[in-house]
Amino acid sequence: MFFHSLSFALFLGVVLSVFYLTPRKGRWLVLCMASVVFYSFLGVPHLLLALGSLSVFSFLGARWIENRPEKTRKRVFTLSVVLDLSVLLLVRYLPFLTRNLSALLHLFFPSLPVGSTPVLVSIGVSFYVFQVISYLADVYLEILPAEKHFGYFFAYVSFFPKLLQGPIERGKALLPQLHAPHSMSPERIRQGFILVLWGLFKKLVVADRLAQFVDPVFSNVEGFSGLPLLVASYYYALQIYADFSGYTDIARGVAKWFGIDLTPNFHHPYLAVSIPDFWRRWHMTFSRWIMDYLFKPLQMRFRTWKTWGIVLALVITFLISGLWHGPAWTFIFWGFMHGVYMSVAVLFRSFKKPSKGKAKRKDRPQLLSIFFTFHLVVASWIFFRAQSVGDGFYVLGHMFAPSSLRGISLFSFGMRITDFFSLVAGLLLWGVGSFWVPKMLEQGKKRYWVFQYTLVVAIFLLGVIGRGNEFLYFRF
Amino acid sequence: MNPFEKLQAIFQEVFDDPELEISPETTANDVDGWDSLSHVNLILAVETRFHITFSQKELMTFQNVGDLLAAIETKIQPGS
Repeated sequence: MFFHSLSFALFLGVVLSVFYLTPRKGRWLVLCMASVVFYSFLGVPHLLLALGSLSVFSFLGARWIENRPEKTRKRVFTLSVVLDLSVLLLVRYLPFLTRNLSALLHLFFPSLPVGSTPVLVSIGVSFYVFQVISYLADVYLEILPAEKHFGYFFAYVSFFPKLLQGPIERGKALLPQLHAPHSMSPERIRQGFILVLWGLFKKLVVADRLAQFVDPVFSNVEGFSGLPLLVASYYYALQIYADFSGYTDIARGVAKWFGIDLTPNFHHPYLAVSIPDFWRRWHMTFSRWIMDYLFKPLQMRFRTWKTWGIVLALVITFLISGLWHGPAWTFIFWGFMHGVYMSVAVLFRSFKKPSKGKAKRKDRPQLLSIFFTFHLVVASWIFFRAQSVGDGFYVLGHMFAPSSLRGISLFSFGMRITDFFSLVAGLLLWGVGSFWVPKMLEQGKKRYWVFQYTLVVAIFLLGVIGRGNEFLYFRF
Repeated sequence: MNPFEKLQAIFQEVFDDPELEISPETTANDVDGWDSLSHVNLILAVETRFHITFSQKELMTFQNVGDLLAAIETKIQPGS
């Protein structure tokens, strides 16, 4: 049941009706049940079992941590995190580990059979695990009191609009909202519609259209060289942004209708002037998570090694970030690239005094920095999308080679000419809307209806309707 | 020199600003150049000058200069 399906619209209508007909004290139960039904519809075996056990371990762990001596707190915190990570490892990463380990053993003992284990749950669990770990850490660090009511805790971790692709919500941001009385104001309804329509537009008009070109190229990169590889790489950078931020907007819009504000996840990431700046703008709830719960503890552990300790902490943090996206070497390599980018940023800065460096950086032409940063990001996305690290290097190595268009126009490759013009119109609207939507969310009713009608018309006229393409981040 | 004055001197040295004045409410946002990189230098300088070691948990919970100072004061011997 995807967000951009009729079945989700019907499901949402029923859940919202039941939610607002239920007395306030019992609404947590409606949210919990809606989440369980939503996950059941996904048809992923073992998903509910995995999420249920993660919720129980983390809820009980946090209750146990509270009001205990420091030694016990630390032990219980560690045990709970290990349990949560074990669930993730078991349901998601075991096949990857088995495959690579047995391939390694096979080198030394060729008579050994190459082992394999099935993937039990492929979606949703990674986001869930990050949330429960942040909850446990915040309770351990005494930033957040442990939730006393399992129902509210489950509603927080499993709230269906945000579970599969985030935003990764902290307990201190979401739990108080679930306890507070929910209200359906005309303002919230309006904001919800803006976000949902804007998300659908980005998904159906931009992302799915770009996918028509990107998918055939990346599924057989060696069949191409030159311009198609170059164009597909740029297109993918736009596709993943439109797709992922589109999902987040829909999630935020749907949450508004339940009286809940989810955390924004993107802030013009391709206008970043450096890689650290990119990570302050891209998948912000994720980057704050990895900074707070991975980078900072590692940085402090390696503090005596000063700058090199920071570099090591960055590389480890981003390698784990890559692996978090899925059990594949392409993601690990993508993470490694960002670890290296960030380390270079740190090392480069360390040669200058910070305060003087700051003044100098302001004088640097911003456009050049944006251009350079964007291209570093595009290069990393190639590995993120490629089917293997080798494919990624093939794309990088052949994108400037003579083009293999074989008499086919680039426009019509994988796209009819009308599709291409739909894409151009969609990209133009996306560009304008990116600056218009945040203002519209803040400023009342001005031009609201014009915007809504434009988006509805654009979605039906320019969108890729009826293909049912899943959201890209759905699989993480 | 009391712990606060000593801490202020460390800040001035780490952030290369002899005019820098801190208060218990000062956060990383208030000091030019106080980022992840310089934060490590600051913590190392504090640990060396005060002859103390912070725990991982303490380092994760510092929100402002006041938190840092409170942790220092609980660790140092009177008169040191």
